[in-house]
Amino acid sequence: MKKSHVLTVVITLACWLVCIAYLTPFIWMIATSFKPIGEWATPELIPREPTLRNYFEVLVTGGIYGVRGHFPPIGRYLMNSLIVSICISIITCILGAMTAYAILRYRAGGSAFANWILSLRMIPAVAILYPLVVLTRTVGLYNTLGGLILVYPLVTLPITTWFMIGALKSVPKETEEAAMLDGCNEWQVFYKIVLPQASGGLATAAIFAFLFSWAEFLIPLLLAPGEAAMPLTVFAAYFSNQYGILWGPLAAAGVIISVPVIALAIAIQKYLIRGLTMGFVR
Amino acid sequence: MLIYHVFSQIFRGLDYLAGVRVVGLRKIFDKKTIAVDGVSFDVRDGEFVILLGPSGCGKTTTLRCIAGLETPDEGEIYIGDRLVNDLPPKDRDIAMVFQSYALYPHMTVYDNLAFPLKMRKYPKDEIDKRVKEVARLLRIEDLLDRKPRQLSGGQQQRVALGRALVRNPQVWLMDEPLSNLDAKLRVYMRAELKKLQKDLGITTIYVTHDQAEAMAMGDRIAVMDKGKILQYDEPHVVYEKPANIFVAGFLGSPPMNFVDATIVERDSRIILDAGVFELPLPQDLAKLVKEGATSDKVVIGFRPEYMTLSIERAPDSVFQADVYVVEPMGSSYVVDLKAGEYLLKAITPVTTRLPPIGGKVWVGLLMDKLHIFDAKTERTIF
Repeated sequence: MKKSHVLTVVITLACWLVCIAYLTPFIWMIATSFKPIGEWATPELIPREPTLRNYFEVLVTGGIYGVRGHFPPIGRYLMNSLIVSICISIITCILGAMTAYAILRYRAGGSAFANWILSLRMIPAVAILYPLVVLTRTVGLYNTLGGLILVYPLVTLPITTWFMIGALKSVPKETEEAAMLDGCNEWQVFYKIVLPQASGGLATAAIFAFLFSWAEFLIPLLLAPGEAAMPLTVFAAYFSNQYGILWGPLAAAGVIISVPVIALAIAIQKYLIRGLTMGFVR
Repeated sequence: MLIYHVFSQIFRGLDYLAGVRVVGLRKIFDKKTIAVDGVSFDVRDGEFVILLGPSGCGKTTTLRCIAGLETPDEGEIYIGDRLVNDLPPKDRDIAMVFQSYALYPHMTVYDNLAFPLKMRKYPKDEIDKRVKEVARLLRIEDLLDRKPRQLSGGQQQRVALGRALVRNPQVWLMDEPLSNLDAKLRVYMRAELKKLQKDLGITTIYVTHDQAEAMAMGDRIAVMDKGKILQYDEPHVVYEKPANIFVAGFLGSPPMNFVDATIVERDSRIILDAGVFELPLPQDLAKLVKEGATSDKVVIGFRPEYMTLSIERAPDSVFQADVYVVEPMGSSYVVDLKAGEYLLKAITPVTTRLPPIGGKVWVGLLMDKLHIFDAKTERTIF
């Protein structure tokens, strides 16, 4: 066996190991979501009597095995999550693209500014949450969708800005100069010439922003604990309460939360990989 | 004539074309790199002017200042009689062709051509008419629906030219537009471009580092080095009467041969002693050299095509050299000669009888094609 073959085998095995490590809890979650109440704590993977009851309770009744009124149905929280995530992906894309362009072309903020922005991403969210709670309470945005939309860019904007820097780097400067000579002002150059050429990066950034805000847990847990703005992630956590952990509905909610994420990830797999490596492999 | 007719129909008002005047232009990058150092020149209405020089000589920066893509630190730029220093690029009424063509990759050829007109809010039917006229002129009618990446280099080049001329600008600026084409296409496009420019009569400033391109296309050539214009004149003048050693060496392929020499006075005659040969000067030249030289050191320059080679000594033979290499060029030979420490190049017809490699050959120089430069100032004495 050649050396390269050995290497291929080792790499493949390692990939499978990683996949199994990541997928096992997920597969377990899917299995549990189909288990009736008596089987939640059993070690078998395959449910003995598969049921859709967990989904029914979560999606329709909002009750837990006959006890109604525990939670309102999931629809409300699904809407909250969707509204916040869509708004965030639009807002952070616009802001991220503009920030990236300003950094690249106008050297806004100096040469290290891009790194400063990225370092925001490294601050643990817990560290800034208390001031954020005070802040949103003071301005009356506590427990509102608006408050979440205002705060989420802290998480999403650094990453979209970095994506956009990578994407905009691949736009040839000459096309911008040609557009300036052809009659564009700087705004027109940006949205007529630069953005269309960076559309792949823009889409990746939008989807990343969507996924990040869709999966965000800690910020809404503290900023939006009430029904008015609570997203799915926080809602799901309430299945673990003082009466114990309701594994079935919790697993069903988890599956429901992950479906759009997985669907999106598969749909944009090509862009995702390009977006992740954009600006780094050069 | 037909093309001219077609275009004067589309572009009513060729009379409104104008020249360009650059006065004392200076551009410094990062407070230390002087890219353009006091450049002044004028381009007449309808003239084709070449900015020629090695990379980093400031020619592209000069062009970009005229386009408004760089802000000059000093100096004035006039297009027609307007001072354009403070005008943004879009208001200067110029069009530029970039080395990389800079086509908009997300637009079709049609939209690329129409873009400058759309931005200036031309009516739709007028845009359509002009785009189709330009496409016909440049023979890209079949490509209008394609995206730039589906085009060959030559086709992209035509689209870039089309975009530059579709709105009838006052001035065309071109930054090495042919350098990305293969050699054959480049020579072909050279002639096409010159013809187009002459037919349309658009004032054109063209940047290149290719001296052959400059000689072939320009009405006048500005030879630049280190941010300065060293000579600005018609191609044959720049070639035959270079202002200094740099200009003499930059134009011509193979370039001019240079040999260091000392002025010696012997028996009341002025002789240039180059070591490998001695060159007695006629009275009139002797006077010029004596008056023009700042010291007794000069440089003799002679072009390869003004040398004659013969096995036997001829009346015009000046010195003997060894044949080092012979490069057959088809219609002629380029002969590398070794004379003392110098390696000289001569061009000779293929009919010339030559000794084998390493053999001796007599070299003759055409005295009236000789150049003598001051060794210190590098300026031409005659």
